[in-house]
Amino acid sequence: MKAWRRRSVLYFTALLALTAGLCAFYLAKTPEKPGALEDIVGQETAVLTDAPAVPPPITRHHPTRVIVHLEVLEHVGRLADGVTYTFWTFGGHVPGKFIRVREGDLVEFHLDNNPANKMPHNIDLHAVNGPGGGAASSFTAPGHSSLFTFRALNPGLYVYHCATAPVAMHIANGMYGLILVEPKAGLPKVDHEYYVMQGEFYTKGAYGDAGLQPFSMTKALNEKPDYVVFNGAVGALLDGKALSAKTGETVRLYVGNGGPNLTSSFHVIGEILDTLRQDGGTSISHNVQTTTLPPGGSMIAEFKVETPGTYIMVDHAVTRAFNKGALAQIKVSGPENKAIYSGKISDTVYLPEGPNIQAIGPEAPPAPVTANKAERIALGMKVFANNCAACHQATGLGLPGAFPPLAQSDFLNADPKRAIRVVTGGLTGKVTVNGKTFDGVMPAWQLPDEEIAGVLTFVYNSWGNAGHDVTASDVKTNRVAPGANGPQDAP
Amino acid sequence: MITLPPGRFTPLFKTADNAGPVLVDAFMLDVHPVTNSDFLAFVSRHPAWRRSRVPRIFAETSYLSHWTSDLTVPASQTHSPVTEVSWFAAKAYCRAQNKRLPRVAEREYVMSKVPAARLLAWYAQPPPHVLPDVNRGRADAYGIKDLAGPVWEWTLDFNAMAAGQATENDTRFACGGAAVGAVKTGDYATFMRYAFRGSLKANYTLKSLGFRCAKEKS
Repeated sequence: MKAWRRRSVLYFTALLALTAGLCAFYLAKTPEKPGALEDIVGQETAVLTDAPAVPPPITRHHPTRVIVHLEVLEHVGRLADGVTYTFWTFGGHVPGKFIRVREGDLVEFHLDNNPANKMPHNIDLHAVNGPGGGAASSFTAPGHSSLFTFRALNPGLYVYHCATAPVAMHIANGMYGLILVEPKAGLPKVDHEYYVMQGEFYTKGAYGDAGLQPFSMTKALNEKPDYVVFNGAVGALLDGKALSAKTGETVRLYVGNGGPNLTSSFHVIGEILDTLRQDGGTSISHNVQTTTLPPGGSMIAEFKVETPGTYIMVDHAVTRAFNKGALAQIKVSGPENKAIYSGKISDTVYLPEGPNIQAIGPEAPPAPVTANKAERIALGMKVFANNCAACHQATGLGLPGAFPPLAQSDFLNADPKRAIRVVTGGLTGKVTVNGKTFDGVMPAWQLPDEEIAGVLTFVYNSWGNAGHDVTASDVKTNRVAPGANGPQDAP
Repeated sequence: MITLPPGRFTPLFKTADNAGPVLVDAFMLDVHPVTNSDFLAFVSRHPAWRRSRVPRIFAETSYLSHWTSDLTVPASQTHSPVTEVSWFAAKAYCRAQNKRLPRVAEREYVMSKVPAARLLAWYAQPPPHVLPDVNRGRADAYGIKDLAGPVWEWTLDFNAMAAGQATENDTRFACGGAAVGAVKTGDYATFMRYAFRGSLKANYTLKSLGFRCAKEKS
């Protein structure tokens, strides 16, 4: 002990004592606003749950002292298949534990920083009325535990997050969660309650790059994440881990956005949010399709699932859903309700403006008049190139299995009048050409008589065909209404 | 020890009278962090610093708790950096070697030569069960090893920012407001070092916190 400097011992002892004294004084003077607040009756330890589970509703009718122990753990976990990340967590998972208290409760908050952690951490709960939301009071070195209390004055759903510098990195590593301050009267009873939280991850490698991915400061500063996910990992709520409900049941989603930077356009594909507590507060709106969740914001949505199937939750900034992981599922089982949603009744070919019409633009110029077979062939060559070659091919050979050949076609050469009917009326269903059966659709061509005469003459005089000459008057005599031709028999 | 040349670095936070670089005089710094065996030699000669004797005010309960007794270091950790030592103990160790702890300015000066990516990579890795042998450390700047991990390190005036403002040390790094007054808000690696120091009290003994000694240039 001789090595001590007496003076510094005294100095530090005095300083510690003074600090302790100040803190004690401050705690004793922490305003309780007698008269303004209800009496606290008893105490209980909070039930904390990992997402997507939510603690049970509070049935108490009085405020109590709720003791919360939340442990910060830094550990490696799965971000996507084959991709790991060192998450910083409130309670071991992303998002952090769901905390549920009642309006008026006194929350005794213990933030425990695991000794194996490298970083100091703290917590800013948006449910707190006080500087930093508890951040300064909970700033904790590894291997230490901080204690503070707050009165849950305002009902609502609140985000909590770590607020230690550099804040963006602590949040980007997964340090966020939700605390529900349940209104005194409680929330309406529902069949299922789930906890979903969006957040983005900034990794050194691109989306899907395998291995342990370090945090990318550059991508974070540019706000360009490679991962935007629900509940801390790609696929955290997909397939076997999807949320579930039965038809006719009610679902309540507690949804938050940890960020740190991106605003979510939260949407449930195939569901309408019957009741929405926008921003997690007390104002209620109904019949909402997509709701905005800012970083550090939340919402409560309720809806009844009417029909069975898989409902997909997305950030409707859809690149994030399609390319960065922002997808989750609710699987609804139970009987169909055809009165509300039929499912697919039929699947038919769609052709615009009626059954089998291929309309040419209204501005089409009047067709030229042809005087002889040579002019008809010349005109028909252009008409063919513009209208027919895409399917029947410039060679007239068609495409096996899809489009019948015109070259040396027995079906075509057998009957020029039928050819006029096919071109003007269209042709749907089975047709046998040169021994091969085709089962497709040829649209009805809304072309002037001259052009149809031209194209048929061109076809009949190409590729070794029969050499017929089809005139405009032949077309006029034999044309049929679009859709007039049903399935054709073989010649 | 290695002698560092005099030089300048820009502190993370501006002060009322200086927002630019500050001058650091030449000084000497240990090549690697103090090891368990180094510290064992110290407590052997200075019984007051054995873990069964040290007063709580100078070191909290986890002081040297990875040792198996007052004078026994697990064989696997002989040459690992000593951790779970308080500022008081680190300071006493350095004095016993006729050295001192490096100042924050000296620490930040040398760290300003270490690439941020190297630090971020260390921050992103959970600590190993056994800290590596210092003799296998990597020279990070000026031939000084293990600056970007495997441990945080004590500094002489780690709580200097608290001087005159009893609560400043606690709150400054606890909020998004930490960016206020910072010179380079995008320097996360440095922010973490400042925040870590800001979370400490002098009797803390953390698993990932060790030290090395410095000395005036001879």
